[in-house]
Amino acid sequence: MKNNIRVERAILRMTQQQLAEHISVSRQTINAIEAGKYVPSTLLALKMSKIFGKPVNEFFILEDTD
Amino acid sequence: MKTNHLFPHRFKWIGWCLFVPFALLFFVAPIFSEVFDDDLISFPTLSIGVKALDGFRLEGNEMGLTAAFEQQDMFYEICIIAMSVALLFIAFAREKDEDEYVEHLRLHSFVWAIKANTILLILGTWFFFGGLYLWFVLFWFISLFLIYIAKFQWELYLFRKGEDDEK
Repeated sequence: MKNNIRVERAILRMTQQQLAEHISVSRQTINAIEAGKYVPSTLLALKMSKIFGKPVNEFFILEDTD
Repeated sequence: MKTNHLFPHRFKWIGWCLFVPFALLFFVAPIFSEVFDDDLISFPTLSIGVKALDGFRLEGNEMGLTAAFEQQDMFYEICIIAMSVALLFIAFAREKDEDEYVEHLRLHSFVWAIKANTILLILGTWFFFGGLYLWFVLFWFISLFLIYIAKFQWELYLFRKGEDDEK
């Protein structure tokens, strides 16, 4: 699974730290998610969806290997 | 996400304050056995044992478990219980930045610790015999926590010093 969180953040001019504070996780967690090292819970994905104002599947994208 | 199976953060330090003195007592006591004897603390308690060392295999009257309320030397028992409780506190105290990724690290570290400890059990069972094996099993129980704590803290260290991709 890949993601466009970095792009969505850039659109909102938001740093990792600011996004982290909005969804109550640490900055390193956002870093791990963006790097594809960690797949967040549905809860966290929905919180991001609320902030970005887009459905979850627009910034988390399934790959053929998934 | 709120997790509710962890102890508050301060339990980590309560755990260390409990573990260090009792671990020292436990491991130093055998060296100074004239000062710290097992009967240093002694009181009546329920005592369960076997009639003979090989009690489960003997026949007739010799077979089976015994249970009695009697005076027992409890110094080592108290040390082991205190160490177990302390390690539980340290292992499962909430981190200040606890979130779902830290929980993910906990699970990863726990699985790793169980695998490593199983290898220890196999090696210990194969090579240690007699009284040494009893000591080994005791150590083995403690090592599960120690390996988990070490692995988890290492993973946390790597996680926290993670490079900031924004710069």
